[in-house]
Amino acid sequence: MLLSNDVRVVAVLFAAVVAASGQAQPDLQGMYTRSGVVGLEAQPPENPIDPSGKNPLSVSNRGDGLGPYPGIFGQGGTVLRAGQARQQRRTGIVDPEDRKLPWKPEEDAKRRDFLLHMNPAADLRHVELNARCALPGLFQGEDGNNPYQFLQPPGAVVILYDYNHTSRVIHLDGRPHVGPDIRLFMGDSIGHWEGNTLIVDTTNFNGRIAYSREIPYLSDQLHTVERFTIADANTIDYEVTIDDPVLFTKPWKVAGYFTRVPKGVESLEFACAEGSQTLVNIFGKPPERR
Amino acid sequence: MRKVLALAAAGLLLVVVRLAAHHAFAAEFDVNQPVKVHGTVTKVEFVNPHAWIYVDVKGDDGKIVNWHFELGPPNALFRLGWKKDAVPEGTVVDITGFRAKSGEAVANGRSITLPDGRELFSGGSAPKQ
Amino acid sequence: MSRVRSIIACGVLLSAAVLPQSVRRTSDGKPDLNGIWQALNTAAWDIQDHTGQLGVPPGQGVVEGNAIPYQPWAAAKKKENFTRRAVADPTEANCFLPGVPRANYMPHPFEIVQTPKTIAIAYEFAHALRSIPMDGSPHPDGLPDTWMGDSRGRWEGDTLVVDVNSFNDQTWFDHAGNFHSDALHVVERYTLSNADHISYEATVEDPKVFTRPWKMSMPLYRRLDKNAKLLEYECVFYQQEEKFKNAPFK
Repeated sequence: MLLSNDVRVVAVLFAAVVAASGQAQPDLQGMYTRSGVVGLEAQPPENPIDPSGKNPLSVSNRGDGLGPYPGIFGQGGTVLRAGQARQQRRTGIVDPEDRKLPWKPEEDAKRRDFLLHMNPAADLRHVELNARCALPGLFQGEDGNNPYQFLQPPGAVVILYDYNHTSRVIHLDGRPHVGPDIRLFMGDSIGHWEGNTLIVDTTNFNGRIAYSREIPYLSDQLHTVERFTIADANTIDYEVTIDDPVLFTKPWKVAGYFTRVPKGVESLEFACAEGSQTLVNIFGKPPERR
Repeated sequence: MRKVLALAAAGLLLVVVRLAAHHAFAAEFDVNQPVKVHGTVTKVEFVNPHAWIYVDVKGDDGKIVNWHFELGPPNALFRLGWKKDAVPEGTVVDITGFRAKSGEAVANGRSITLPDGRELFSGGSAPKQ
Repeated sequence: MSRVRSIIACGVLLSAAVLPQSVRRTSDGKPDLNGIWQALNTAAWDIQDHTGQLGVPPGQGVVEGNAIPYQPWAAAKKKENFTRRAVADPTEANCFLPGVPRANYMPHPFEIVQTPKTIAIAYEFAHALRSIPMDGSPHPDGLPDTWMGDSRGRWEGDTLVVDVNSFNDQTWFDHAGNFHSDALHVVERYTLSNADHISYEATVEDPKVFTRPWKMSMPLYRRLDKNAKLLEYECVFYQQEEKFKNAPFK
């Protein structure tokens, strides 16, 4: 096409402005449940924290019928998931396909030993991070009770988690990551759209997050790339590439999906630290300081 | 504790738990100290991350101890229809649970039943309001 | 040509009628509050006039008339809170959520995320968060008491009005011990005076504690730093690291 340079420059500027104003973003706004982002390895380690029925240290097998939690505490999810169609979607570890994570052998040995000191917790460092009401870092595990709200103001995608009132602001304006001396539980996220997929690049983690019950820590060299793909009017497919060169020999990927909740479901406050007695229950009261 | 860990060594097959986002019970509460009390509700607190129910329990010595039972997340209860004032003070209940490792009159509540056998804070029995 | 010019002139005049020309509007025609904001006063220490002391900057108060109309029992309770503030202020002593409106004048930035159906406010302090439905829905019945309240928003002309209730009685309005009960009801008004300043007002009423409603007002300033971003102030975590560093204790 024979466009003059001036017109071409204006066209590029116009496109950039429209994108920054949010008008060019595909719309995924709304409230969703999250499913399937469970990074369960093929040969998971022995874990005294594991609440499942196979762990002699859990209460699931007791003859008096007392389980880890009464079933109803997952039933908030029945309200959140009412009317959602059953879906067969990509979930769990998808790369490597055999779900044997590419641990560096010495780091795998260290974390297996770390787990054995979590119950009883040898010290503060060995207490599960989500028992401390710490920010969650990455999406992890199943969560039947707490929805996610996606908002799209101009130039950003914002995700609000009910869980521990967490929020992530993903800027789309092409800014660089913050400097290396700023470390964050949630990392620093920047994003861009490719068609119907939002790609989010996150760095600057602080090395104080867990990935799962079996992976109790990830390092501060962690770098993630997430893909949120609008699959249909009610579903977002999700995949995260987890690249932690301190712990693993190469990156690996976990998948899951988000599904819209029924109309009328609202966000509820989940204040965590305010009502938590966990550290005192585990260790006793800390000595008075004066 | 170490002896129990040795038992756990044989072939664990982990199962995904629906509530993986919530922290583990096992580090905080003692599976070897189950408790079962009969008493009167003094307070129900719908606070996150745990709802709490406070129960006056008369011990064998006749003294009344106010037990604190930790329940699950109140947001789940609210979404199921349990409003914040659902259980009046003075309600008589039977509660089972596991005592906190700290040894206080604090426990993780498992089942709460009324004298007529109805279960409190159970999915099927939120009162219509 | 002159007809086009007069149409454009009309449009410019109309859009300038309520707000200065520098204020952007969102795609649904509302003043654009998106961005990072922060208060620049000392209300977090004391919302009333106060003299400086070690660790406490002096400040002119944000309470209109400078008087807080406590009921007699509550005035005594406030004095007691003040004496015990080092251990009794839930926000400074325990890093608990600051409530509303204190979250808006903590010495930390917050981010307003504005869309037509929902406005969210994310706070750097303790990652506090408020989600404000703009759909006209009522406060839910029987909600568990909350630290940050249940917020419902609407536009009155170019002012964002947020009605907040369902509070617990756990938060203080400042480090000086000003407090409330679970009957607290706050109505906030956010008005852009220009692109980089919000005139913020919060009307407080609590029939269990005060004899009448009262009001705080202050400017909120847009953070203009290049690539300004909300970071994390996770004081619960920092406190745990300190208090439990020698655990276990038993």
